[in-house]
This record gives sequence, structure tokens and C-alpha cells, in this order.
Amino acid sequence: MTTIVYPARRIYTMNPSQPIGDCLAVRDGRILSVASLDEIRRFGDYTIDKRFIDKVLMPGLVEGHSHALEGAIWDFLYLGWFDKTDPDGRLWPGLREAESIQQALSARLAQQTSEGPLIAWGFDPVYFDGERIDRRLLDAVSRERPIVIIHASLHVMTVNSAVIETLGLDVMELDGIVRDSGGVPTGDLLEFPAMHPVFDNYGIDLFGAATTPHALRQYARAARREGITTITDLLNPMSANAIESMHATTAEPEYPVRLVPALNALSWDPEEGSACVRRAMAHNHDKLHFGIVKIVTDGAIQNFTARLQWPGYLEGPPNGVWNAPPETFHAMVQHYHQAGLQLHIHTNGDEAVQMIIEALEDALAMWPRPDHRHTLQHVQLIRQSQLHRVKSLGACLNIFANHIYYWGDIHRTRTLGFDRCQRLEPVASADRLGITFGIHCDAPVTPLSPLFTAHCAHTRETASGVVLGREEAISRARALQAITLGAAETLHLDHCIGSLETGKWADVAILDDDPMASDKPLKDIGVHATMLGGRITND
Amino acid sequence: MTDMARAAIDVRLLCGFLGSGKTTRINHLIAEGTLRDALFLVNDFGRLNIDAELITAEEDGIVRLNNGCACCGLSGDLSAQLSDIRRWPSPPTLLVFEASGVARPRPLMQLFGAAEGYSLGSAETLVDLSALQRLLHDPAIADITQAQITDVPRLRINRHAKLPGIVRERETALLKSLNSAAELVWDSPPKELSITYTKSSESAVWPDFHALAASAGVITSRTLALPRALDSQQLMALLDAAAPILLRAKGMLRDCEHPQTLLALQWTPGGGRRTPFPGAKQDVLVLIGKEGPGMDALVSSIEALL
Ligand SMILES: [Zn+2]
Repeated sequence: MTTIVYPARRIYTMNPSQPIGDCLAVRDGRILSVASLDEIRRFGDYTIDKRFIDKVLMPGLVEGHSHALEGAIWDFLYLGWFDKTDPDGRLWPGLREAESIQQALSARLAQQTSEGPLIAWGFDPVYFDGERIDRRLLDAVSRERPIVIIHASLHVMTVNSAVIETLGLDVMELDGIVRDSGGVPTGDLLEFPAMHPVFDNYGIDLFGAATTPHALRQYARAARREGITTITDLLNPMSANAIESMHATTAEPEYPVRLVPALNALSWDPEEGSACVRRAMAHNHDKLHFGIVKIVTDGAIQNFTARLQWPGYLEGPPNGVWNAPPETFHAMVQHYHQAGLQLHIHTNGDEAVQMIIEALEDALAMWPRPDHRHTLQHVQLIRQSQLHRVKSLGACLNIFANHIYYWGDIHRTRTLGFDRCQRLEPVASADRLGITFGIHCDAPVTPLSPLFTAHCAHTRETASGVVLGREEAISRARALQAITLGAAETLHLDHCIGSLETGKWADVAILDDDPMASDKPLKDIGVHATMLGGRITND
Repeated sequence: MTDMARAAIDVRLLCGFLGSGKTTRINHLIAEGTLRDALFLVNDFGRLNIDAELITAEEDGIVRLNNGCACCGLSGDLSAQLSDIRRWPSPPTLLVFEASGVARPRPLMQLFGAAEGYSLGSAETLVDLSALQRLLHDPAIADITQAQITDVPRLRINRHAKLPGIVRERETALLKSLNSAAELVWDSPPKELSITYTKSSESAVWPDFHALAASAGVITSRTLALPRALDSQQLMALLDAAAPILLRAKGMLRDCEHPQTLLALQWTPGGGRRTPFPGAKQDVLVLIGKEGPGMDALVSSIEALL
């Protein structure tokens, strides 16, 4: 088969023996060589393709923790504080006043032809000091048409009078229905028991929608635009339908990314769960890779639901919540570990980290297993002593670097305070200890864009421009490694992706600027195109 | 048929911490066979071992039983699942809902009280009286344990029979101080139910490990090669019988029924598991327990199984 040679302004390979190059040779969907043309010539005939001659090439980016919900949630109206781009490439400016939220809702209502509810997402009240987005404010948009705003946390929603009256929420006895001093619902519904009547009546099933071929295609489009060639769906139900949908969709020749879904262990009996993953693995192909299992232990720090060690939270409740009893997590870790599968374990707070370190120690003492690469996910708060134990266990980390930008200011002032923010997402410490790590965005929680994530890990700047924990900042080079080879290592896929190295798949991100040499912030470096298995992908 | 035309599904809510006996209770309700047209929705991340004779069909994660009842696991999003169940072509008349060990009863009681298509018939928390102190003093879970006791109108108490009278009284007083309005129901000691694993040979006679434990010594570990497949069900029963001297067992083995599948075995006094394990590993069993005649008897009993 033909060899195509792409000369480029510069190629960053992430291959330590050969970190840079100027021509990329691709054959049979794989990297044949990164070298000068004179060297490549020895492999025989080739064609030169100069389309990337002024571009910079690096390994296709790897997003090790995000969710296919990103591909479904844009069917609803975005009301977030920050600017965000949808899978079609349209920029949605952040909304920072009640009035602009009302305008956005009105505009959408005017377009919406069906009588169904207007559903919006991404709203985060933590940024609206004093100004209340409540039932009255939504009634000013419409008193008759139902309006449902699902908050960014997914644990709260705000609805208008049309919803309250249709469902009779004012007479329901549910603690989660927030009421004013006169007992009248304010429109805020907290937690699932109070939100259930709304989901039920209007047939809203966010997570179900995320498994459809439409959502998977939108998700891949969004990823491709950001230079991603391998993406995870880190909490997949793995129902028969979901597996069938992933199988059919990723097998489409045009599908532009490789997908790595993780079984949601909390919805499975462990023995059935491991059997399900094994069965699914039999259908793995180049663009679909089953084999990882996700366990979600605690909640999120900004929602005051992560499990923290002393001294807990600055304000709010004393501690967060477990999603299952710690004993259950121990048993699950044991089970999936001995079943030979790789675990990705959501641990946000240092108490959750501690519990899982102990569970991993137990499992490894009983069932020593080299190179297991069980990965702690998020690890926003992990102590230095815990990092040492992670290292000695041979575990990996995938660190939620975007959090510094989006919630860093909140963490300093409301949840954690100064000291713990100095080591929020301690990427540099993990690097100094030689721990294998990636960094991630957790889309749709924060935007899908590994270069932005790398920017966060490099600058540690919050939204207000404060630098949070300078000692934990990493260099551009290390940040770029974390969004390619590092993330690939946490997925146990670094034998075929993550670097531009002979024999690996020709998955490439093609950039407009040099991320190492230019003064441009990493987040502003444009992605020109991506290549997946040697095929240049586009919309 | 419209939603209005349907009678609401009557809900029985079972709460309680891990190990409080919720699964046993559900197994009991199933085996008893007095409930008709009930759906058991379980959410404790554990397996419900249902007697194969009761099962008539199994599809889409729903196990149908021959008495018209059905079982399914919670598939992550309870809201979507409740929406779904009430829209089944023939929804159940009764829903027995096993809450997760970390669930607080009050929001769930309110949920079933308010949710369209459901009505809350009863709510109870199962209490393992022998574990009450431990749970209430564990800082990670004390607040949830307390809520599970205070939120419900009925406490179903189990594992009380072996407690000394004075302890039982003290724990009962504690329960009453936490929830004076609650009705207390005392479960008789749980009977051996025929819905765990089918026993292949009930007549097997194991050494009397209780007696042998009297002369047990220091902790030791023994490694046994397992050159042949064996009856792993019998092995599990033997390990259970050896609990007085055995602390842990782990290993890789093959069962005679499926000799091509390697099983990872993991046993503690709390129970054992066998899980298919891929890859070529040695068939070996490691026993960790107390040195002495009991351990010797265990090893020779295992060898006799081969
Ligand atoms: Zn996530």
C-alpha cells in the first residue's frame, strides 16, 4: 500500500528517543516514520502531501475522562456563566445577568414550535451573588409555557409556575421543594426526589439520551474539532441497547474518534458487571475499546458532596456523601481487580482517596498484579502522603485540571480555603513523584478541549485571573504529554496511541501554531484538522 | 389506557445499612410466595440469588418468577426507571423497593408519596442489632445510620437472638430513644433459605472444626496445588465449615462442571466468591488460618475433593 508523507513546520512526537521531526510518513493507517525525507525514502515508494507544510503536528489528543452526555445535552438551551462551543461549532456566550438569561429563554421559546417544555442546562447559581433566578423571573418569560432549568450540578433545577401548577408541586410534600417564608414554592427543586415529578411528566431522560447514535455522533464531532482522536465515555450504562448503539456508530467509516466506554459499576451486580465487560470486549475493534470499569465513590467539592478529611468544608455541611457504603467499594475494588479489569475510580475528596487507596492495597495484597494501572479520577484533593502511596501501588491519576479555572475562586473562598487550594489538582507533585497521569475536562461539566485543559495545568489561573498554587504548575511540554501519552497510559492504550511512533495508529492533531515555541496561550492554539488511522477527518 | 385509569403501584420501602438483612428479607418474601404481581427492585449492588426453580424467564435485566412476580436491579437512574415501570404494558400492583445502604428513607418516602403512579404503602428499616453500635460510631456513616432509624415508622430487628439479654435491652432502649414512635418488629432468626446456591451434596460430613480450633496455634498460610477440577460448590461449603480456624482463602481453580473456565476464588468468613478469570494462571489455593490439627484436616478434606 502507498506511503503518504506529510512534511510539516514541526512535529512533536512524545517519543522520548525522537521528540521532534519534520516529515510524517503514514502507511496502512499507521505511523511508518517520523524523519527527514531522505530517511523515509528507504521504505520505498511514497507520495508527498503538502497540505500541512505550515502546520504543527502532534499525537491525536486523548480525553481520558468525559461523557457522551456532551453529545446529547446541547439539544437543550445552554445557560452557563462561561462561553461554550456546541458540537456544531457554534459559540454560546456565557450569560452573566438575570436579564440575559431571560432573553435567551424568550428567544428559544419563540423558536420552539412544540408545546413541550423549554429545557435549559448549565446554569450555575454559585456565580449569581444576590441575584436570584427563580420562579418569578421565569414567569416573566412565560407564565403558560413550562420552563425547566437544570443546574450545572445536575442536582438542582428551577422551574416556572406553569410547571409547578401542572404538576401540583405546591401541594406535594417533598423536602426538596424550596419554599419562601409563606410556604410558596420558589421554583427551586433540590435533589432527585423533588426533580423526579418533572422528569417523569415531561419524559426527560438525559442519560438515556446520551446513548443514542445521534448523541455519539455529536460527541465525536465536538471531540474532533478540538483535536481529540481518542475519547472516553466514563460512565456508560452498557445496556444491550447502549452497546449496540456504540458498536454500530463507531463502526461507521466516517466516525472520527476512537471511543473508550467505562462500565458504571454502581448499576451492576459485580459478577454480572465483569461478565458484561468481558462479553463486550469480544466486540472491540479499532475504534471501540471496552475493558474499563468506573466506580463513583463521592460527589463534587463545589456541590459540597465530596468526602473530605479534617477540617472539612469552609461553609456548608460538615461533609459530603458516599454513593455506596465504603464496604461496598472495598468489595467492588476486590472483585473487578481480581477479575483482571482496569478500574477508574472517581475520588474528589481526600477522604474518598484514602478509602480507595486502602481498598487497592487490600486487593493488591491478595492478588498482586503487575501494571494494573487502576486510575484515580479527578483527585482534586489528594495529600502528598497519599500521592506517595498511589505511586507505590502502581496506580495512575487522571487529574481534573479545568477545575482550577472554573471553580478555583469558589474553592479558595467558600469550600476549601487557601492552603488546600495551593495543592488543588496537584499535577506537578504527581509528576515529580513519577506517577503516570493524565488531565481531563469531564465534559459536559467543563468544555471539551484538551488544549484548554493543558493551559489550566500550565498556568493554574482561575477565572478571576488569580494563580492558584504556583508550585503545582507544570511546563507546556509536560501538559502536552498529559493530554496525549499520559492519558493514553491511564487507559492502557499507549501501545497504539498517545505518541507518533513507528507502528502506532496514525492519529494526529494538526495545529495552526507551535504550542511549544509560540507565545500564544495553549488554549488559543487553533486545531486545523485531525487524522484518525491515517484518514483526515472532517465534518 | 391513560395514567389516570390505572391504580397507583403500592410501594413497600425497605431501608437499612449494608448487611442489615435487606436481601435476606427480599429473598424471604420471594420464597414465601404470598406476594402476587409484585416487582422487587433491588439496589444494594449485590446479587440476589433466586432459586432457579422459581424463575420462568429473564430478559432485559428483569427476572420473571413463576408466581407472577418479577425482580430487577436499579440501573443507575432511578427516576428514569420509575417512569419506565409505571408505563409498562402491565405494571405491577406492588413494588418492593430495596434502598441502597447509604440512602436516607425520608426523601424516598416522600418521593413515593408524591410520584405519579405510585403510592407509599409502608416503609421500614432493617436493623442488625448486633451491628448497631459499630454503625452509629463509624464517623463515615453514623449520620446515615441514624437517619435510617429516625425516618421510618417501623424498625424490623434481626440478629438479636444471640445477643446477651442485657445488650439486647440496651440496644432496644437506644432504638427507642432515637425513634420513640416506631413500631418494633422482631424477626425470628433467619431460616436457611433454599435460594442460595443449590447444595450438591448435603450429606457431606466435614471435620468438626469447632472442636479442632481448641488446639489451634499461630497464623499460617498453606498453598495447595490443584491438579484437577473439583466441585467448587463443595469446596465453598467446606471453607465455610472451616471458619473457626480459617481467616482467608484465595486461589485459582476449575470446577468440574466447566473445567475449561478458570475461576478466581476469594473467601473470607463473611462469604466467598468465584469469578471467571481469563488468562493462563496456575491452579492453586492459598489458605490463611490457624496452624494445628484443624488446618491439617482442612487440607486433607480439600485433597479428598480432587
Ligand atoms: Zn465524570
